[in-house]
Amino acid sequence: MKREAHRSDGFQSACPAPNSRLGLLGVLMALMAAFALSDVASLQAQTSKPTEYEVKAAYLYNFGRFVEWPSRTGPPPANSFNICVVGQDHFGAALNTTLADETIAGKSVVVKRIQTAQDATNCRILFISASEENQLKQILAVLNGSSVLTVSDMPQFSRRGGMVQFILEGNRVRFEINLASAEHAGLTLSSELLKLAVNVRKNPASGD
Amino acid sequence: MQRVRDYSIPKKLTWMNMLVSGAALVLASTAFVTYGLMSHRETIIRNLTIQAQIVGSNSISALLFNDPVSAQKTLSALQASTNIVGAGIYTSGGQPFAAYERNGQHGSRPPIPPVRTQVHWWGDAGIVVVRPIVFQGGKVGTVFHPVRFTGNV
Repeated sequence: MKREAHRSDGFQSACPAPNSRLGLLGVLMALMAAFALSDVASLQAQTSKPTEYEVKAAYLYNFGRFVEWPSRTGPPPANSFNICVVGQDHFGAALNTTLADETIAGKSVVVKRIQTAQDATNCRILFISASEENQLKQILAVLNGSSVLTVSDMPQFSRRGGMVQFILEGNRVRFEINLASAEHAGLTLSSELLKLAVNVRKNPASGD
Repeated sequence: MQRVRDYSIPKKLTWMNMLVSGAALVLASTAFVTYGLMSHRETIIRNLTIQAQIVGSNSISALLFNDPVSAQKTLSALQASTNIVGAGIYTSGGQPFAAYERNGQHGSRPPIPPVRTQVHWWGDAGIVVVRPIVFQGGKVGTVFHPVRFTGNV
């Protein structure tokens, strides 16, 4: 099938392009061969399926890329972007390895394990472990007025005023967002993030 | 018929003028058509590259949070154009992530290598735009965007 037959003006193309389906297929196959010779390290990294907490660690990082923190008028902001964990740590090494050498908004990401919510003042993102379920009300009260993105996988977290709650759908990690809580803390969540949420709550915490 | 050689001088001059004017006209027309077609082609490539970029950037969060359904919704907006044969989103590792195919014409697409360059081929009266999806300085995926031209472009 001649390519020229498709052009009504009979004008010869100046581009030396493949003029048949076989040509296009040939180019695709050549690219696949090039791929076989290229660096396969990234491919190897993906052959083992990530664990639930490795996925959650990656999501914590990605939340940071779709949220805007208010510019502070008080003390100067920390030089690092702190992602903190309070309560029983289910991440283990996954959090450190996933977030090693990453940056958000030009700042190096630093992982901190903290004991109480009072230590979270310099945190941008705080993951509250399900072990803290009974202290949630107090934790959120301490954080009231600060611009910390609260994330957890404990049940009813977003209904109780937490900002982002991890939800497992089958073997896929999804999330629910309480937009009212986030906006109350002065955080701006990108619509690109909201469109992926399983549910977006617009009411502040209802009941405890 | 009288041979040109036997024309009177005024008539010869007239013919020469017509010849030269005609040649100039043909040359100018050819130049205009060539330029028009080339810039038209460049416009098409540019428009399709922009389209691929829009599709790609709307799929960034879906890629980062592993939500192929959301990426599929983004791609299905391409239904509006009958020329678009399909589009595919690939992960940063080159694996298929989401695809849109008009009338299921193409079956399964092979995994494409994670090349950094944008490539476009003319093949079988169509064009394929392959573009990396970049977010905050890092590549998060690739858009594969074949378009078929139906009739005049």
